Amino acid sequence: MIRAIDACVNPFFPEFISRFNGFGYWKFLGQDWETKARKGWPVEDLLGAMDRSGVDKAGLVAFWASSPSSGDRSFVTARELLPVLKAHSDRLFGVVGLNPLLPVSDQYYAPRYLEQAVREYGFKAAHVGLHWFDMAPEDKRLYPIYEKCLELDIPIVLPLGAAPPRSGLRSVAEPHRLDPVIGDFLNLKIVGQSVGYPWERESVYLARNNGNFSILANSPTPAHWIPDFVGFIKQGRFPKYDAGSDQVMWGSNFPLNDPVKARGEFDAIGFADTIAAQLLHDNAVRVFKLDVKN
Amino acid sequence: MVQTKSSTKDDYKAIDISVNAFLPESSYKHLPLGLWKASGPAWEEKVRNGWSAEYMVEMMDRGNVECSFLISLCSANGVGGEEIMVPAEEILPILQKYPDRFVGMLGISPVRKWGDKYYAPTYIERAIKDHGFKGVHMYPHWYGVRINDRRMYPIYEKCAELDVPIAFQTGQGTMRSNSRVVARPIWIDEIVRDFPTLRVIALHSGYPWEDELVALAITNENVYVCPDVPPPRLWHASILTYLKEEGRFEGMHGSDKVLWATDFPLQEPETSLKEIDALGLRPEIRRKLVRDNAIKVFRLDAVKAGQQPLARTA
Repeated sequence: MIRAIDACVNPFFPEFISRFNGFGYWKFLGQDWETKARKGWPVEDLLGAMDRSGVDKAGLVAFWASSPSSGDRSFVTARELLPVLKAHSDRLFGVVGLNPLLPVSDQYYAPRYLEQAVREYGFKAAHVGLHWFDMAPEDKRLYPIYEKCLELDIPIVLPLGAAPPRSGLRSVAEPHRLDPVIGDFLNLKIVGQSVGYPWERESVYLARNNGNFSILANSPTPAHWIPDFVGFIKQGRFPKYDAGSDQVMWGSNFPLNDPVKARGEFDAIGFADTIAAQLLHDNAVRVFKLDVKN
Repeated sequence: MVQTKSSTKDDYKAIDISVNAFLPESSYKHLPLGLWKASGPAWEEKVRNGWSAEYMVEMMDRGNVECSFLISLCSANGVGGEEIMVPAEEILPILQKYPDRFVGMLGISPVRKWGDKYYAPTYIERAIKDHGFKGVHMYPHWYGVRINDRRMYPIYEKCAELDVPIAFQTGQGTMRSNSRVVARPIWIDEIVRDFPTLRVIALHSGYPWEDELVALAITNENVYVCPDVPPPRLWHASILTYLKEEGRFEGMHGSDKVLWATDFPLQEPETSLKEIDALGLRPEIRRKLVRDNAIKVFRLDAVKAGQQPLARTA
């Protein structure tokens, strides 16, 4: 089994879960999810799921959202995740979630907080949950954050596609809206989180046109990847230049998807081993600049 | 009328916050601008020759100016035209030779990209931290990029982070030069909302929207007005009223928010200050206008006026 990197897992640990209970999608996922979400998922659950799905390392997102349904600011800070990241530094790496709406006077003002998380705490990437802030990717309030990512030489993870189900959020992040951002920040490594449903083909064209754009394919799970996307991964139209296997990475979005099931679906697609290794491992190592022993 | 000692005008020297570096070795680069044609052959000749640092120092002495902010000007031959750039390195020798007389003001291009030596955010950081520049200067009308455009935001962020003011042209574009209206004063509103600690200096009076500019300066702590164009004898009534009126909003009046400057070579300090005298301002207001406000906005008060030179580079 190819050893994998899971590029995106969530810290819905019992100690933080009450902050995320208001999310509409627990209801959407079903009654047992509401129960589960009330308890949270201990870090052992996460590590166990990683073991069972052949995952060496996972990117833990210090997730930041503002939840219109609960009225809360729902977030876990980088500092709060430090103990767990330190305790399992061989298994987890940090991705810092940012709130682009906070004013400069706030201690979590995005560019400053990002710099601190990366330089002091060793986080590997930034994350902005666009839908939760009703902010399209080309919104200029994000530009100082993009600029800081360039300075720190880290990628930024942006969820693309429709808003999370039953979240009450607007779908502000069609992948094509990244086009001007890519034009303005040619060197910025952008990771589009999710394949971009229902605009997967837009994600594919962005990746085809721009080498610094990659797709973190955590949702929908591989069983639901559209043929155009799978085709792009296997072989681009101009294979030498735009074969997508360089620019796609697998992720589970634990606990929202079961990593074991997602990994099984991935293997069932039947990619060639070389391509599978890129998607499961190599691309994430390169983009997030991870230390892995080989 | 009794005058306090500190406000008789012979007691203090002026600070000119906008002086363009049209140096003899590079001034000719600016010749393609339609502006000079519009101003007549005499100006074309002058711009061809440029003005040396020695000339400027002498001129400052004549005008009783203590120090000037020397701008490494970035502009273009109209929107889409060739960029005309004075790099910071070109004025560094002058800043080093006359540390008491000149302060560096960094001209930037808003359109250069990451990896370029003059990509604005990194260029700003370098100039401020390594070379002691005190402010950033931008002429967006030459690039056709609006001041509230998203490409400006990393620049504002960097200025706020480094705690230096940014000065940019407001109002109409430069005449006969294919520049654009990119800076209606009201568009500053959005910028200072998104960057509440950023100090913005609106150059060129915002013509023909002076009222709008004054309204912004009254309502926003960090918005300052620098009517370096047109010359004081032509200042618009709203700016004059703003400057003279006092007592309603503490610290937000023109006397605290307006800064005199020459935009040299368009004006020279001696004449310009004579025109200021003719405005009949109260002596305290005159002093703030031509000196104290600049000290405040650019945080020059770290060095005590009169005891040490205000301008310090590197």
